[in-house]
Amino acid sequence: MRDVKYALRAYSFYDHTGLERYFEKMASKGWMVEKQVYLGWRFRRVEPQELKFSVTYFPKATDFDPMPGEGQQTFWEMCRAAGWRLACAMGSLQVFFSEDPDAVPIETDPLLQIQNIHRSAKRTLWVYALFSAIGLLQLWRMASMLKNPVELFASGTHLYCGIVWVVMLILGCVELFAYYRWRRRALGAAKERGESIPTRGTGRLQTVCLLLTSVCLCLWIISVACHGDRLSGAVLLGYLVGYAVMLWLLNWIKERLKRSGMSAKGNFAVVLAADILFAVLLVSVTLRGAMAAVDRGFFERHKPVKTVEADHWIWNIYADEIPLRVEELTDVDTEGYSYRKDRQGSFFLTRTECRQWAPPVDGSRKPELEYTVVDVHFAPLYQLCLNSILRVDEEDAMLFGISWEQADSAVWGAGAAWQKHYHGEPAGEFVLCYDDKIVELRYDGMDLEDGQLRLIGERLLGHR
Amino acid sequence: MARAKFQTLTEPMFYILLCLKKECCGMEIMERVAQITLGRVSVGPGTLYNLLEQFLETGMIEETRAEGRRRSYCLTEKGYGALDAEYRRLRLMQEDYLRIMEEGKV
Repeated sequence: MRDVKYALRAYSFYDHTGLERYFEKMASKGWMVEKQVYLGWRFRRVEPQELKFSVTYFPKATDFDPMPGEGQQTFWEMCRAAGWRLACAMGSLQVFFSEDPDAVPIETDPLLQIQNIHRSAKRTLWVYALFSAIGLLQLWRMASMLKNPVELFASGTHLYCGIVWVVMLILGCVELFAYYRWRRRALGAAKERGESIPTRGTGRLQTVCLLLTSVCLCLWIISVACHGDRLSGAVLLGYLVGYAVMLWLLNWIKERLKRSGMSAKGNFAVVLAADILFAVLLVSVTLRGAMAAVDRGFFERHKPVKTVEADHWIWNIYADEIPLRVEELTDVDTEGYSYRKDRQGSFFLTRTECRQWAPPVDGSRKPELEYTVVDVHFAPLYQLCLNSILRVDEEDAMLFGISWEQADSAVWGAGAAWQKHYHGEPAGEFVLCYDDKIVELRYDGMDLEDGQLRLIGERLLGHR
Repeated sequence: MARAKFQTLTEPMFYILLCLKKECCGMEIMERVAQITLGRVSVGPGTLYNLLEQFLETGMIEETRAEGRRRSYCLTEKGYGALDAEYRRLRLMQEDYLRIMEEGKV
């Protein structure tokens, strides 16, 4: 039978009432709280008993203290004399219990209690403010990317990391709002009626956010594995692993210094310096590693088969498998062509970009074919994506007279079709819709007949 | 700011200072307050610790003895002054109450 139990339970730093009820419930089941472990608590087995818990705050105590200070020990002594035994203490948070259901509460002055909580809270509030600020920045970034939803939703990395930061924003804002709302009400009750009011934390929301973040992380890893985007995936994975190692190392340094008897201020200064150093190292090592890996071609999904020098440029020639080739549409010499395919996607949509072109080796240009197939897996995004593809910048419309005009869709076998016009002149650029697909097509140097258009429809839209 | 805070005393503040007319340690204060008030007022150890710290900071009490972590305190002149001022404030309130109530009877 296990004598130690770990329980995941997020809590609001000021929610002493919630923590007290939780510890009382655990004690009645035979588990006494022993210490806080990351996002949860460690309990040891005891005889099931009805105990009264009191969670109080000792603002002078920090996580960096080598041992409880004189004042803190005097405080514990006073609590002991009043019938309260210390269960555990983490930084300023002190957990006491009493077997006497009528024991005088540790805090009998609500105003002093609120002051103490606030003095302790100041160390935590900035973290939530930081979460909110970064989350807000990410939200703004995601909102600006919504102009191009295909780009946003095709990149699992952008999307899932963005969602995680939005979750952080919600968490940070809700926690700050909940704390200040409780504080305002508690101050009012303390001043007007001399009463203390129970706290109500956001532990459940935090647990939901934690689960959501974990799900997003898993989805992101699956999406990177399934749909490419390996470079940013590797960079972010490097950050995540590096960050976890960094946290472990910082905690190890802190505990070692505490054991060596270093003062709280000295310990904090060393840990802060190490934190900055590790953060700089983490960023530079990850980025340098990623760049070195790119240079060595680790993230190249398709390495060029050769390079060609033409028109003062060096051209990479690819030989990827693409679903439709120029030579299937027109009679052309395939020598010198490059076939490139890029695929990126998430659970929401997949974008496949294909291009066939030939470098102008002898100054002449061969017919070109370029198409992007967007498979929308999440139907509500379809119209959003289509609208963004058909949107024309005001500047482009003014300068080049660009507009999209509806075209005959039957000839492609598509559900709907649009053709790009420059100053009223039709160009070889089309947008085709069929089922859950949107195809952007551009061809150059070819005059295509209905039969060829039908073939394009069959190949790219996937209908028969 | 702290001075302004102690211009009027709450019940726990008043009784803690009253107990410290005679040298007393923290644990004894809790018992004495309950005895003096016949259990009407109780001061929890957290509240007591914080108030003793604040009284020390503002010079209303002084530490007289320290035996291990058992520290004894006593009122200072300033503490007497604060206690006396509070007593006079309460007396004035009482007199006002009686005057108004007796006017009503006449």
